[in-house]
Amino acid sequence: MRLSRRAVLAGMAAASAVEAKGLVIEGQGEAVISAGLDAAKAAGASYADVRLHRRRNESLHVRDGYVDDLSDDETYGLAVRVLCNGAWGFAASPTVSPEGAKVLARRACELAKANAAILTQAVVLAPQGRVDGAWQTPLMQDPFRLPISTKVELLQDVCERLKKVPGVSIANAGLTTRLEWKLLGTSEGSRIEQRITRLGPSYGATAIDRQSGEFASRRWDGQARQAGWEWIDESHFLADAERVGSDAVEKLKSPSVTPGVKTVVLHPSNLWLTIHESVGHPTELDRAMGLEANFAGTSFATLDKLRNYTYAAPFITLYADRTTPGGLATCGFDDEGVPTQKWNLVEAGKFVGYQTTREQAGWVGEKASRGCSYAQDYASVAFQRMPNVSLAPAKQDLGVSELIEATDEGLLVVGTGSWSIDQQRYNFQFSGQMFYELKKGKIVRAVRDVAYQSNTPEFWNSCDLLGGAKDWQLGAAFDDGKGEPMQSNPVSHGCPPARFKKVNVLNTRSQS
Amino acid sequence: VSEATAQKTAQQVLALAKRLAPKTEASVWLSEGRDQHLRFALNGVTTSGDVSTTTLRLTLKAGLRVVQASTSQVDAASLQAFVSRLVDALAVAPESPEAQPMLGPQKYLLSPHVFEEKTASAPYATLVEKAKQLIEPSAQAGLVSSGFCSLRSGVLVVATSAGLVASARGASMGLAVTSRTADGKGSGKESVSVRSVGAVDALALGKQAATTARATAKLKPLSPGRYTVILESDAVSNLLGFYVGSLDARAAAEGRSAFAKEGGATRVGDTVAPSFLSIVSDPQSKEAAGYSFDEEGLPLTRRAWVEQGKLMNLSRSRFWAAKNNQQPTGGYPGFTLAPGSTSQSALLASVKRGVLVKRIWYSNLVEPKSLLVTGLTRDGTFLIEDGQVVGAVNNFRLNESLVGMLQRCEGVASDSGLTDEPSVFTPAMKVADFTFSSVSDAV
Repeated sequence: MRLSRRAVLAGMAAASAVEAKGLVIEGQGEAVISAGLDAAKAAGASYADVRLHRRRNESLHVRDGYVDDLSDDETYGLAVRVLCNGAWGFAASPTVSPEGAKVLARRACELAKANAAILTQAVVLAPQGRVDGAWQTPLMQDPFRLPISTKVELLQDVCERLKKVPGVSIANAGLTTRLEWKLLGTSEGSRIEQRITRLGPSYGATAIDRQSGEFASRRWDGQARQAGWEWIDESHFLADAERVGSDAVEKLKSPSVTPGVKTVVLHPSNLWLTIHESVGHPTELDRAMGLEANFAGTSFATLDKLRNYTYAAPFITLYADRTTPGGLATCGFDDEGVPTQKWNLVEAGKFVGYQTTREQAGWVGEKASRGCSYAQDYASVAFQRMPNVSLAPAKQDLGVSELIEATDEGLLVVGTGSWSIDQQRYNFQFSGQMFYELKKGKIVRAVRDVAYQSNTPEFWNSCDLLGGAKDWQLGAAFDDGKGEPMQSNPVSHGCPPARFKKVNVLNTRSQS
Repeated sequence: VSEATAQKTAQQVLALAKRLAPKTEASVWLSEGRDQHLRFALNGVTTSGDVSTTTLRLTLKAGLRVVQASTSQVDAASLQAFVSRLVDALAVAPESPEAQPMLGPQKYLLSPHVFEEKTASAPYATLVEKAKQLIEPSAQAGLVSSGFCSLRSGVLVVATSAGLVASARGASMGLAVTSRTADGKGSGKESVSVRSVGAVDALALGKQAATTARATAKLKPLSPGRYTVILESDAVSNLLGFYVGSLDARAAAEGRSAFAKEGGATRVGDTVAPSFLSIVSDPQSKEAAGYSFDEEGLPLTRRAWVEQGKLMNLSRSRFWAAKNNQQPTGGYPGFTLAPGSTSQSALLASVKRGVLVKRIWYSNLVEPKSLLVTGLTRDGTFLIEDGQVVGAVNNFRLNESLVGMLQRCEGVASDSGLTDEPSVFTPAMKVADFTFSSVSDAV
């Protein structure tokens, strides 16, 4: 009997809890963890966690049909984090051994004790029961087990399709494949093993007019995914190529946009990044508390606004979810042993929730962490990172085409371009890949040189039409930066198309 | 890890590659480092760390086939497995017409300012002490500080099967503090990264950040528009990074760059800025020191990108240089904006009405042809009238063409241009008709 993919995935997901345990050969894992935890306790730690962390990144890039980059980078090492006298300490090294774990644990405790001189508020962790768990990405075909020739041929194929379009001058294609494996042990007895596979296919075309000196590029709207090789087919990677090439040529010849205050219809391939910046980051509790003030910034969504502030139009709900299938931030447990979950950040337009870690839960009167602790690799301290943050679809199942039909005059924005937002997440400016003028429910023509500017609360309250599940899509950021030293966090954002009124549209050429 | 030990490891890997694949060219890039850091917020420590890292990158080449991989595991058994896997990968690797032969022995200038033993050996207690000094002025004044202190040191080796050996040690200290008023209405930030642990007065940084926080707490509204601006060092560094990063010969030759001309030529030789403006990369300089070799082992010496207003060079990879019968430029990320002849205060005194910008945040390239960059002012934006700073104003979103910005530059300060990148030195700059396109409510 042939099973649906959904059924196969469901079966794999169920099996994964068993399969992940001991997947990677780290026979000494328990010995290393125990040695680190024991040494931390002996050195005075009231809490400790030990993390073995492997990160592999295979990168392949093809330009005009030939490979110009092929690399396979791996880091593997050991991280020990401790609490001594209410202060954090951390030490890490690529030496993975029981003796190495003891050295790191003692060093982490030395740092924590030295920090007492400038500690103003002792860390208190929200309780977390002992967890003995495992999790791995549900996938059909492991991309790391495929020969490199399969991947090269795919990228060459897409470049060939792009170059077949008259007017395309340069074709680029890339593939990033990431594996993250980690084994976490905590002084509370938890032991958690996870194996996460992420796949990031991409390509683009550039059309160049040498005489006029004009050029235009168009990137594919497809997204990175936590998935196996099957994502290549599901994402329409090859099927979209001809259209992407044609778009680049059309964009080159398109007239420049007339700036002004307009109605904009944001395709899900564009809106996900606006959600990331204007909802994902402002609802990080460390920002709201001022912990990121020196670098990533603070937030307009301050604690006094929690459950007391209209963030968006009343039909809008935005939620955090580290269990979204395919989401880059999806996993079974965070990096301090908390099972992942789904919860609302904005509910029916009201600001109702933050992203938290065990240290932060008590700051907003919550008894348990939301499971948002993450470290990018062995050399990094786990801290609060963004889960997948998504916009819930409307009950009325409108897609992109229905939103266009419902719009008398406006601008459709497809794909992501340049992006920027202020450090408290008010003023933002986003661009896109393709822009289309809409009149009387139809696309009239493509235009170029577009960016839209708005202010987060004004923008989300100006939404007057929301799409449904039909065209709900996940967008993804492979390397969202935050923290000092800066770390990258992979995260996805799902959304339907949506329409916003009175948005300031700029002509980027006239700004020059 | 000493230079000698790192060199020995690199040679062991080359020998292993030669043994497993005798007809293969090989190149090793090995970085061993230590990073001690301390983060603080709400006037107290938050996280900290003492982290050792190892990155060994091996490149193998046979004919036009090239593969590259890196690992953090350099014990004998791990290296044996690592090299074996890469040799196997090379056998089935695709050919690349851009493949270049491994470099042979090279001559390097000394970079005397990139390493100081006192910085490399400074203990973690140094960071605690620096953090105290950064926090103190804010804490005493009822302000809220956050910041970051780091000590980094390491050794870098490049070696090839063709006999190239390059190695160096490096060290740096970074200090940053942001001071905010308790009501969140004022904010100031100071940050530097230097090669010498004794080169910075942390208490002075903390005081300056607190002073700016207080000064910005009461602001007057100012409309967006075009203003003459004084951009302080960090703001200049932020924007010029996009300009220097776009100086690519291949993109210009292919017609997809701000430095491409109609009809197919590049702008090399054109006047792109006033004659007082020069942008150079010089790893041997004291103010923007870096290693004397790049990742492939190419020697790096002083190179002018813009000299007395004229575009002198575009960056050329080894492939693009060979294809065009030119010398490669090497890849050096650092740059210096040559100091001018008047002080920052004199530049400011020459502004009839304008805006002083201390920092720029979340900048991003919007339009590659004009190098239009967007971003926001942050941590200190002030109105200048009749040559005097008369008060703080709201923050702005900027949309500014860097091609136009250099053309409209009216002066570069003679003062220090230290930034939070040890290989970037950019004194303050005066620019006419700088575009602020909207107001930001953020503080």
